[in-house]
Amino acid sequence: MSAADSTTAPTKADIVPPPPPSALTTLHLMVEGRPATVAALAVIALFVLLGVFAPLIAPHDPLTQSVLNVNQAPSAEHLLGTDQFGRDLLSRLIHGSRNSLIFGFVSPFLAALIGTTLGVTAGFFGGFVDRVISRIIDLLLAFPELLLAILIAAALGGGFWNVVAVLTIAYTPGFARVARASTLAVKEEPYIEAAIAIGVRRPLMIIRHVIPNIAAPVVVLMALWAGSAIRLEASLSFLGIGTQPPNPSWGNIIRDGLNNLFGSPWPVIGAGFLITLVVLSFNLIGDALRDALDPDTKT
Amino acid sequence: MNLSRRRFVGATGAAIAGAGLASLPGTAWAQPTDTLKVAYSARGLRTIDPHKSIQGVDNNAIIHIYDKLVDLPRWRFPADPSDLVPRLATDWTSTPDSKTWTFQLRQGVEFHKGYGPMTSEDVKFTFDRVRDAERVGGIKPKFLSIVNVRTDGPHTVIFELDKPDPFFLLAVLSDYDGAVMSRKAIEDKGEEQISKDPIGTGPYMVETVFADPGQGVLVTANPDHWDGPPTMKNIQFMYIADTTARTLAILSGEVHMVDGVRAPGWADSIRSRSPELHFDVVSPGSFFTLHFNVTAKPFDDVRVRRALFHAIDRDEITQAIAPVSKRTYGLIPPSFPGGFTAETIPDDVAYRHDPDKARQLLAEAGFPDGFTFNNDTSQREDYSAIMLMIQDHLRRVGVGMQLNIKDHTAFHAGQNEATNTLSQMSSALPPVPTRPFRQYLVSDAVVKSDSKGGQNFSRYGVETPGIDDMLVEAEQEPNLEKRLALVRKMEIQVLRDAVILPVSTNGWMMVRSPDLELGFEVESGYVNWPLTEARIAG
Repeated sequence: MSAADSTTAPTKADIVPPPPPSALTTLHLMVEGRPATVAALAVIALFVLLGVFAPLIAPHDPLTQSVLNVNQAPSAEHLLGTDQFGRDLLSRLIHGSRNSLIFGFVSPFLAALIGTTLGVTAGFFGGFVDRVISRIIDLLLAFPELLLAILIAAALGGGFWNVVAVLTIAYTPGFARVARASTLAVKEEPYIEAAIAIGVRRPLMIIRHVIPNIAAPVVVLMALWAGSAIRLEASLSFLGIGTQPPNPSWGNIIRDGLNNLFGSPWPVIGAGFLITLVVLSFNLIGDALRDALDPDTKT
Repeated sequence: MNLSRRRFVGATGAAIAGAGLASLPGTAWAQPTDTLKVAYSARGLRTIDPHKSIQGVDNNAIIHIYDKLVDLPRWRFPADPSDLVPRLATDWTSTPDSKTWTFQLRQGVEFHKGYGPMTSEDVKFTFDRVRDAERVGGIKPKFLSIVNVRTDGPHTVIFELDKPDPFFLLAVLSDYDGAVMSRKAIEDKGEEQISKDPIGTGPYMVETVFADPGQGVLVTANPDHWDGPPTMKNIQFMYIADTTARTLAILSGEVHMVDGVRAPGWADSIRSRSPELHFDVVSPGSFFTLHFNVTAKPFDDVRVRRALFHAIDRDEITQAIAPVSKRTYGLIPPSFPGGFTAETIPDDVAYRHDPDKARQLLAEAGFPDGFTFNNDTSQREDYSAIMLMIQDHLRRVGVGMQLNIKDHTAFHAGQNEATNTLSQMSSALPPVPTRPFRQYLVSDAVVKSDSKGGQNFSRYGVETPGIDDMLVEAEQEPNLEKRLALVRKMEIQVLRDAVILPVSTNGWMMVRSPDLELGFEVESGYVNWPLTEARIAG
């Protein structure tokens, strides 16, 4: 009954890895019986549209100041009111979603790319390479993400690409750790042994046999950390080392709003609500993705 | 009665919410108290030593513990130095060249806590100490003009200066750091101890310096003060750095007075919440100036600088930061001797807001589509608010200013290393007409990359002729009117060269509970005024 009882040679099913589920199947598994995931996907889709078409959707220029219209309460002209410089809050939030989502997508993607490369290299080759890479990763993991991000941002200064670099460096060790662990497990699989036996070259082996089989946890991590990256960018901007004014981001809208809480509470409420909503949505999607791709860990 | 759990929770919740709402509108200012509480925007008290103070708000405690020789009339800068009020000095004369000043001291003035009578020895000791870098850690430039302090009997002191200074009393003696200290107390207690346990002659004596920095310092009335005891029995000088927390403290009645926030809309939002609060504003307060680096491209072209002068809407900036912000037309604010006003500023250097003219000047200089440059500013609210507005004004004429908003200390450190393009200063300078020129425009004060230079961020007078010779001429001129005429001439040249844009003065603002009366009106002057006549009604 069990494989150990069998004395026959490995069957084809053993040496060919199971094909990863198709995107459509994954999506079906994610949403089946999970209305919260459907809502989360809808929220993210909505914000992606808002971000892409921000200049068309926003009712006002997010940067134009108006001294005569500072700290206005919500009205027909300004649906969420104005900030202390008389700028339209709704327009700033819409343009801010563009910044936040770019960071949410780009940084985890880059971090996944770099982290997976490092992790797979370390896990697959082992030995000296593994020791060097792993110790560097350990070093970076010793710092909490926010602290690491603040250290790097303080050294590099603010600005778009600096913040992308900061977030990428902050998230790379996590991906490397996961990729390395998965690679170590995959390396022991019979299909790898078979590939070695028939003389497949190592780069090809990594691309054809290792990467597809460790993709699931990496993708799940990317979805979970997209929300986390948005939160981290907001934290950095709140501290004044992320997105630089006058460009809006949810973090610096809260920062400016907090100092002007008595003038108008709407910036803090609006941007705070959006951050919560989007981070929550990314987490729900990440959970659903994990359950769909890796049914064993379903809780 | 059958009370279900759900109904109980609901009823309790409603009761709590109702009680909460009911207590909100009524602000409890009229608490009977003998302690006046004032909260300032800093993390905590640093020192009560008048010669070592590095944090402006600490000077509020200093002026109540110590007396000066002369003081401002309550509370404004005098139009003429002869309007100064005698305090520890009762009378003074100067030689015709304004180089030697003789003071008669008030008799029968006693130091706190049994430290004996105040004499000319104490005054000499004080002004020797302030010029002793070892003891006070760096001498302020304004005291450097004193060459010698002599006594002539117990009640006469003579100051000898290195050059004529008709403004000596106002410029050197009338601020908090002109406080007279006790020789015996410093020698008894030592340099360290005197900063936490000061002995002055002032209307209040130190009672407690709290261990919690936010609680600050408590002072109690000096019953034997020569000017009569003050009205309030105690004053507590507290520290609340967070703006929102400080705002809540005055709105809730926890403190009687706080310092305001110099950011757009703040005053209006507070007023709409509590219309009965009083706002005391000293103008001019700090002068906000924008220093163009005349050696950096494209600002080496005077047309570009003039274009930016015309592009920046200074009226809008002052309107946004009302009521603390007032327009300036030259380096010297309108309320100071020698200052240009809206009426007296010559038309060709008034630089009225004119975006079309700005675009035209930019086109003439070869920038029909504008340009982009990087610039640093501070995250402190007055700097960042003004620079964000200027950023928007420049955007409208096609000039992109990429702002890098830095920590306040880091911003000044970087600027002093000559790294900024449009440097900014927000300094409270005394009403001495030559002072801004000496500080910002002479060639030997040019900013240097090792941060050992001065505050001539414009590099004015380095490659082109500056105002060096005119300034020396003005400083040697003993006649006040002639001196002011020379200063106006310098002012016009600097404006014509479009070197420093005088943006505004931002007055220091204190917000006061309606029950607290000061006993006088605050108009101008230093940012710490006496609370000796303060009274809490109710």
